[in-house]
Amino acid sequence: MRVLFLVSGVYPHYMGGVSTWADQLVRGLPEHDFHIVSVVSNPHVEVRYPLPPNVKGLTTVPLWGSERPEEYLPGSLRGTVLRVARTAGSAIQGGFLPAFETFLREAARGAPHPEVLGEALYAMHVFLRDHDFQAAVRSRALWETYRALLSEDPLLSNLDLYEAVNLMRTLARYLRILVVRPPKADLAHAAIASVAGLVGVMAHLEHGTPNLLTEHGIYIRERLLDLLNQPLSAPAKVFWQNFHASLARLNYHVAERVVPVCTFNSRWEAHFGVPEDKVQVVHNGVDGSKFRPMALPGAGDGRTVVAVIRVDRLKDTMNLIQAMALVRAARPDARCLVFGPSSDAEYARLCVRERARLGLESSVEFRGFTREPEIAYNLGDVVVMSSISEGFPFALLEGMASGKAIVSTDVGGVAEALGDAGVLVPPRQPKALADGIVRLLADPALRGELGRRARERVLARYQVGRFVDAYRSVYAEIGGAG
Amino acid sequence: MIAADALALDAVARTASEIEPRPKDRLEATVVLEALGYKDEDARALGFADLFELADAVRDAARPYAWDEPTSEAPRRREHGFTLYLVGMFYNIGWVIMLVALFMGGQSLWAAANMPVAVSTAIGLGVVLGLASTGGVQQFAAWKLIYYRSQGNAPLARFVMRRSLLWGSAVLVGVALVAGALEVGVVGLPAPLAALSVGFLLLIGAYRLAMTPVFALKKFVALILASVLALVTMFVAFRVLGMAGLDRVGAVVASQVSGLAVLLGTSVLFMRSFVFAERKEGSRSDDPPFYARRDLPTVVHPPRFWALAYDGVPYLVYGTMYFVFLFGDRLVSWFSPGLGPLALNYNSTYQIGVDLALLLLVPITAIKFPLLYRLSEYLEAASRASSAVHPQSFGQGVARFHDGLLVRVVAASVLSAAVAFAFADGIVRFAGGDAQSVAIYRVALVGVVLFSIFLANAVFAMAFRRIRAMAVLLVVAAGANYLLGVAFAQAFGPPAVVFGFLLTAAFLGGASSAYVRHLRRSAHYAYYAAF
Repeated sequence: MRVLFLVSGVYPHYMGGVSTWADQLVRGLPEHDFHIVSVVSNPHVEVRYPLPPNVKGLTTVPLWGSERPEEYLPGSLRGTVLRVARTAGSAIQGGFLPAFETFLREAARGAPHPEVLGEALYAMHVFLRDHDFQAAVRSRALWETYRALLSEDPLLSNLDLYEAVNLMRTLARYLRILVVRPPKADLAHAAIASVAGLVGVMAHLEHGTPNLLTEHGIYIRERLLDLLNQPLSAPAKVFWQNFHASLARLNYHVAERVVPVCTFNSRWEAHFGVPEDKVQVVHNGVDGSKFRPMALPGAGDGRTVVAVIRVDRLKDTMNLIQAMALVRAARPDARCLVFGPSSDAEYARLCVRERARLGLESSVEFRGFTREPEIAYNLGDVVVMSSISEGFPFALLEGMASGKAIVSTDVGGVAEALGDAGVLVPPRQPKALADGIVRLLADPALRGELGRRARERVLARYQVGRFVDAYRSVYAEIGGAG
Repeated sequence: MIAADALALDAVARTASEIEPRPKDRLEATVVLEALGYKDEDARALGFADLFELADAVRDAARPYAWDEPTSEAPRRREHGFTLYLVGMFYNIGWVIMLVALFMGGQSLWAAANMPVAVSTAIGLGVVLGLASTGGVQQFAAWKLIYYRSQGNAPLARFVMRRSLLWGSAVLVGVALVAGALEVGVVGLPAPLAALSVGFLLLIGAYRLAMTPVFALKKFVALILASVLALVTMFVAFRVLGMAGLDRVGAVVASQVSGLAVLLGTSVLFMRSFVFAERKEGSRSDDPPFYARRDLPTVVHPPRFWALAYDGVPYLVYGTMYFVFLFGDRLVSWFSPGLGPLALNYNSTYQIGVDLALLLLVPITAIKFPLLYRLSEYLEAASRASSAVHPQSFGQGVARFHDGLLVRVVAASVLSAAVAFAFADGIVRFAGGDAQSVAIYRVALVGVVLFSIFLANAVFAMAFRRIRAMAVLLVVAAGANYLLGVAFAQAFGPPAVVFGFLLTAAFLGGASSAYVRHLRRSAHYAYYAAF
């Protein structure tokens, strides 16, 4: 089977949980050929995962970092010259603007009619095969159409010119995905309900390719969390909320099967109108032979907490630092090892300052990214997660498979994964997190029991083979081949 | 809802409002509640079907607690207008020194005074061709350097600089070979002088390419330093070689070559420092060791160069035609009637008059610098203050800005021209010109006033990325300058060529003003499309 595999900001260019999942899936299904379309922020990314032989193609789509899409996407000078020549004002007026107008109306309202949104995007995609993207999105006609639509909307008409300009320019960045011509495939599998999934939508409308959608985090939910911290005016914020919601809704609409990684996520999908019979939960899996209890020199001293998390706001590392100050009050010898990088300089500095303010320089160590997470987990007596948002986290499953007692915030699919094999605490409450850690550090027997149960639970339910088999069945069912 | 539940909902709303004071819809409110750890069970305990329904209620209840935290923006360092004017003057000092150095490198003044015409012709041709053949590549490279540097993409800035050097060098060598052959075969220069001409062409062309980062990144101190060093070297070399017994021609040529070599050498060093030196971009001393900035590229995946070049055509044309226009009338003045169409002879009388008039650009640039320096800042402020639906105030602001720019430029140039006009005789004679040079100087002063209007309009239009139109105007003006110059020369003799410059400068000033007025009418669209 030829699978069009659609990802964004992850495999094979970035490391992380979803990338691990994608790598496991592609390697686990050698009988299928994959063409990967990877949407990335800029063109200067490296392939971080060796691609197996069944990956037959990789199209990297940078949304930012270039002026003309042809700088990185397929094209020729002759083709570009011809396309530019064809893209006169009248061509844009007749061939592009009606679809753009429909797209914008739908996007601004959260796509109440996803099929209409899909058709509009497809019409734009068809236009852009023979016409120039730059000329179309920079045209005066498009700008005036956009402004006319803003004026009709009671909220968006309040946008100031600066925000309106930036909004349309950013929108033009997202629309670059429409320049990508999807190759013929038996199945389009999107790993996120975002712009990457639009390639699958185009393949569906062009070739009738069936779509499958996997959701790790819930795309719209994560965008909403992200928008909370953006310095945008209310109209701009509402527009982006609706735009991302419309992308999600369209992806859900076109997908024949929606596969969340945990039941928790399916609540959001249901809220977006995805019928129950279209949803099939497939939990992530880990390699129980790689992540296993190990006796490491210097480890197991009964005082070490390990967190394998990025240092960022979603993981709420600040919560962990503040909790450790409380832990140290009860257990002065306790220490915490944080394995994970940060891509948010401001937050990273805040964390370092908070650690200094609380006098924890010697007891909370930021060790950065590790290539050996299986060792990292085994350095601790307790594995902790402090997130405010999660899907079905690999870090949790790996910690469990390593036979460690877990303390985690009760977010996303954590409770589903952990069951009764660990301690759950509310998010954003350092005191509760600290209490959980202190309790486990103080009770070696409980630690041992929870660790044993955690590993048993992973081996029984969340092994790699299990999840790969589940996808093998879904592929056969939707793609129509074995 | 019973009273206790209402109180509980109130508490939830108060907590939620600490994260998002004004949840925009139920989805955003749900996200906030989830981030606070609320679950469907909590919603059901309060009498709601699920968290989404609770979110609706919270959204309504949160309004009384809503508060708007003022957006804290890092205070911007604002330069005082006078400081900017001084910076503009400094910018000009560097430019003046460079100009004088170039003049000494062959254009006029020294080279014109007591130098054999054939030598001046050779040097002059080398200078003109060196500038014209690299002007476009320099403009193109500067455009992409600024673009990639603004993204913090140092590796790609290096890539573009390398490619520009490569292509620029190829063009330079090609032009040098053709020019050398034509100078010997058609113009009739002796081979050694043609070699001298080619040497100047290569030196000046290479220097222009190497100094691209200095100009593009506005490295004023580097510009001044390189120019002063070159000038000092030239003077010292001239004196030392003269004292050593070298004849005047040899001393002038050797000193100019050494001065240009210093310009080239220092520019190469600055280019290495500004573009090619390895430095950790965007890092701060307090960056934690585990911080790995994700959006800063560390590798380069070069774009298809044809795609860059395609978009770069207007930059290439503008940069090239700028010099073709500027030197068109001068080259025409070198024609020797009756000796064939390409029998060129350096015309020092004409050259001195026009070159001196060009110095008028110095006070004009200083005047417009403080304004244009802040144009992008002004556009942002004006667009923030204007409605997107009714952007008239933005258009009016842009128009006011442009009017202010033109008024200042015209006032400064007319004032400076008037002073120069009054003292024309003394200025021109000091530089070695004669009575004809004075007359040419006076006409050229008017041309420069008009040309300065074009320059102000061009920089303004380029802030909106409208370089294509400016390039087209220059193509037309360069052609007209040449044709009109020939017509005037044939009708009234070589000094009349300056009227060709005057008329085409008037065309440039007028046409560019008309274009910018057109742009101003839909300034909001121009602002949007400049990406």
